[in-house]
Amino acid sequence: MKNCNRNLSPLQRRSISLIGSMMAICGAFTAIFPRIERNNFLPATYYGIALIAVLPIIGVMVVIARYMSAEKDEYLRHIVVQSILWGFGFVMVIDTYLAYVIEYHSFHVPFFTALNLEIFLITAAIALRIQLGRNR
Amino acid sequence: MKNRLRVLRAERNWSQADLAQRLEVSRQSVNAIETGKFDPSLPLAFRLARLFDTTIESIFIEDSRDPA
Repeated sequence: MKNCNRNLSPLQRRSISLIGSMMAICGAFTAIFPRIERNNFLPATYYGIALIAVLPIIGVMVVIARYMSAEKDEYLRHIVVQSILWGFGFVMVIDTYLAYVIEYHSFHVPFFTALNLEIFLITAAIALRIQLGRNR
Repeated sequence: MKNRLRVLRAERNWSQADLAQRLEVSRQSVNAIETGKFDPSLPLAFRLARLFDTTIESIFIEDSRDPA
């Protein structure tokens, strides 16, 4: 999670590859699940699919928690926490905006909220990159 | 918080990367501390003091703008 690949520690490399895998799984779920023919599903099946869809998010939480506990550099921990807060903030902004749009205008909004993990991680990565860039 | 890290490092002809290696932190950490963007924790401040064979108070100087 430093500014360029060659400077990454094994811990950072492993965490980034795991987070990338979770993002890919989440993206695949977003592409696959809406296409499933669901006319004959039992209600429990919907809950099951929804639970499967959140597994990559739980996975990312575990990866980040393990990274934070294993990272010895307190400055890097500090900027990773700040970047995560930016990520959460941006996701909340988008979700709140979409919730109001749906509530007041009943617009059909694309499946954006299922991409919360991607939005969160991309925002956090950009925030991390900016902070590292400001402190070369 | 101001600090004399850059001066102490220059006296020993150490680069930021050298100091980072000795402290087992990233070079960005050393830069952030030197420029006052990041205040180190007490354990890291003690490690710095030990490395430069001095006291924490002689490395870090309280800025009048710092909150009491």
